Amino acid sequence: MQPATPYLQLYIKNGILVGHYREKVHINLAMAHDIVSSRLAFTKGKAYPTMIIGHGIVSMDKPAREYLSSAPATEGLIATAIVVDSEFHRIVGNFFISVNRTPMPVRIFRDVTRAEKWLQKFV
Amino acid sequence: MAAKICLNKKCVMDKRLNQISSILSDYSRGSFDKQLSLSSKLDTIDGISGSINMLGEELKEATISRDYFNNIFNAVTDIVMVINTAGIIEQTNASAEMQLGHPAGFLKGKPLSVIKLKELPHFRRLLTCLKRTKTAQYDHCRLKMGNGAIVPLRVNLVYFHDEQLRYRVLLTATDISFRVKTENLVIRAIIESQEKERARLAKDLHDSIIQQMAGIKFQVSTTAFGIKKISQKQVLLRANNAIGELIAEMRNICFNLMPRSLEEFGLVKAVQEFCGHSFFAGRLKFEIRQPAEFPALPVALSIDLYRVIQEFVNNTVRHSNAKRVIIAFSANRNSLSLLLQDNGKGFLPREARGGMGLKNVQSRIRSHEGKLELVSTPGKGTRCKINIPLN
Repeated sequence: MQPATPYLQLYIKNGILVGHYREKVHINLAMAHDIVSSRLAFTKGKAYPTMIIGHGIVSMDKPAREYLSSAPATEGLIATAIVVDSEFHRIVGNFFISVNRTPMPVRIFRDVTRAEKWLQKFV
Repeated sequence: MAAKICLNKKCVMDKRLNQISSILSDYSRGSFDKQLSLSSKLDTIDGISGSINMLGEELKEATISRDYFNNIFNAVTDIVMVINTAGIIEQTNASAEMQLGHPAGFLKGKPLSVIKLKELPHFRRLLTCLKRTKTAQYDHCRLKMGNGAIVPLRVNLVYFHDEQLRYRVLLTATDISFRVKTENLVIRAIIESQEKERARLAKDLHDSIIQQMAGIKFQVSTTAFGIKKISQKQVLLRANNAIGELIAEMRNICFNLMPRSLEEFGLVKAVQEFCGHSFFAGRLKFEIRQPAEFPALPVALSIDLYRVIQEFVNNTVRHSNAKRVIIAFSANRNSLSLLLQDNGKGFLPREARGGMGLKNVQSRIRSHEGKLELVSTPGKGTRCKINIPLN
């Protein structure tokens, strides 16, 4: 496991880039920029299907959401699976996906195994 | 003591759930300004609260955008409609219903045909065309407004897909009354200066050259009368006949430039004179129908209708091989109608659209706010119906 930022850990598992948020994180725009530059530095320009384990995210402000769904911030991402820990967050997550459209496929999962299985199609 | 702590926790939990419930009620009323405060614990309820706050932010922006575009949609004075591929009106702006004299919401769910937009092709044909071209524009459509006025419109159509990737047609219709009026003034000025020039030329030819030629003819015939030598007399008589034919030809030219009978006796008489010309004898039979009472028309309108008839008959002679032409006038208090029909070989009207003759005819008719309908089928002759409002 590689430390990346104080609030996110990044590692590669079976060809999938995994981003694991630490507990109780509120993400703002500066943090979002930090997350993206850390990821790009970590992957050294190689594109990956990506799994975000977002259990620890408490909230994310609007500029951060907009930036993270933009083309520069999604560079190097082939597909993204976001794993959340409740049905409520899955519903809200799907709402945000429909509002902030991304250039690559994004799906919300409650189960890591299912997320991995879906991402394997993009490896 | 433990029970008291538990009770306090339950109270705090109830308070947070009440706050969530209250903010969701605000959202349902369209008020997205409040946000839930997060506790220092950042627990599951805070996670839910954070998500609800994010939801509120997105809904606020979506609502502002929607209201903004709704305001624009309703502020434009053009008629704007969104129509589905079955030809059903899904949305209209406030201006459309106001101008058409319908109550708000009346047009929603109705077929486009309910607004009776004249000169616009049938929706199914429009859609086929739009699938290929994506946009289309139709000038000189006409629509009866709520106040009874018939207004010329320019209609723009755009084929697009909505956020759910369903194809729709955006129709915008702009009132072009002022533009049409200005164009008509320009057309009338051009036509009238042309007609003035023709009249001047006809008068000059008639009053100078024809008179001089008549004088020469008189002298030649007088000289011929006094000459006894047969061969010389025959030469002068042939010259006299040739000058006579030349005078007749000059009179024809003058008549075609501007028939005097048009101004002196009116349109019908001038048309009868035109059709009675020896040029048509044996080639074309005319049937001229006129009502017992035919109104006296303004000179400009008489000249324009005469030119239209001239153009139709000349085209019939040149292209149709017709044997018979019907020219039928009719009129009531409000309008004048003219029917021109031949039994010739006909043509495909779309192939004739580029012709200057037809364009000139259309300009003349349009300048009187009239309507021209040309129907022709190969092998079945040509019919041209003209209707002019009489004010």
